[in-house]
Amino acid sequence: MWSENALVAFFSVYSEYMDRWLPALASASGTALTITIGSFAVACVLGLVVAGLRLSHSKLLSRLAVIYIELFRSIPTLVLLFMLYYGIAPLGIVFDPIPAAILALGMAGSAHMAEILRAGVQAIPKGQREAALTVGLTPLQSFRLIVFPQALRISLPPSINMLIVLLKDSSLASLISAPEIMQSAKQIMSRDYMPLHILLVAGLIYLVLGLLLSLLANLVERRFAANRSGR
Amino acid sequence: MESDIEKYVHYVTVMTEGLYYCLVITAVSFVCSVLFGTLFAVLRHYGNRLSRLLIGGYVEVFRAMPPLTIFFILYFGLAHAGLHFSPLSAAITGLSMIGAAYCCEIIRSGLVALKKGDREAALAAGLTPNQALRFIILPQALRTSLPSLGTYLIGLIKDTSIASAIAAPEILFRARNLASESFETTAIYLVVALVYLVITIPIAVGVGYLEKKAGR
Repeated sequence: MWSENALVAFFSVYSEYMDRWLPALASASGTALTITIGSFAVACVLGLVVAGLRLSHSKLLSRLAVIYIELFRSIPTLVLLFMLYYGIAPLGIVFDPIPAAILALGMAGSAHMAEILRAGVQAIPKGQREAALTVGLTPLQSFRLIVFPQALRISLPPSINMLIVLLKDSSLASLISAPEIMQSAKQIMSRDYMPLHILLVAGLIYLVLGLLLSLLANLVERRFAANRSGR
Repeated sequence: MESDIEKYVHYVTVMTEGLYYCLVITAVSFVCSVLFGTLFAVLRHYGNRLSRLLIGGYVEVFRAMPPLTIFFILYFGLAHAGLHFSPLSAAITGLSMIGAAYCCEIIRSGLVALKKGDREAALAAGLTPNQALRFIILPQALRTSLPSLGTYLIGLIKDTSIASAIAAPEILFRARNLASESFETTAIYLVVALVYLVITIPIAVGVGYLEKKAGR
């Protein structure tokens, strides 16, 4: 069954169908990246707020932030997605698939992002803040100008990892019919009936996009590292 | 018309069945992940160039692909090629394949963290390389990996929800069916979220305890 001919036959399907598949997959990849980057932005903004609350001196706010983090880290992203898309629709709040995906992935990501940023801030030695206060910076200035930029540098590698997780999670948006890679693959599956072929291509696209993101990450990381030694 | 009580009994029954399958999928794929992960970690750490290359490739591929894609390949793709999986076995196989890649890296970092002297001392004391691995190296590596494996277990429980896409009879799949027959969508999805919270939070507490213990 797995003779050489079978292998050739398997791959010849691609030469026949790829022209038809590529445009659909390309635009689907665009949507996947839109969801990924959009949800990353949401995760960064929400994560920053939650990390700020988590580190605040108010016990109540800090406790609330912990509850937020635990809640959104424990609920599966797909459940969040369904809650946003189907769950609250009867209450009159209706989302389109792509915004729902960006919001759900962003909320799930924000909990992780908050922890990443908190770990970054806590990794900065106390002396940095004390020194900044001593030279006359206000507490806010010392955080904004001294502590936060250094914390960001520490948080960068895990944030990029988060970006790749979000790329993979963007596949879940196909389950609420957002026109991304897996959705496009499903449509091609039902039209041409070549499930194995098209799904392998879909997997390959995730592999390549993930690789590109991690290359980009390495580049950014190296630039930051160079800056650090330069100063 | 059925009464409210009957309706809620029906809900609870269906969700309990879903929970049962969620736990079965989680347990079986966690055991497989750790077993294969350990094997792969040892092969990648001590093996020759070829085995390191192959396992490195395996790890990269299975960490880069979304679980949904792997489930679809196993369930729809391979069925077309003549290999039929049930939804449940496709879910378990897929999660185990992904888990083996993650656990390989977790356990490998445990191996890397060990001091070289441990192995040398074991060999010097007359243990064979195999025995040194079994009695000295692996128990220590697994112990250091325990918190990370716990974190992985939480991720695994969450990922079982994705198996609902290939109709594996777990919580979310059951909930979707209930939602479509009852229209009490909001409440049903809230209950689903609550069920996941109730299973994952004790594990998260356990992981926190292990981390604190390891930090001392």
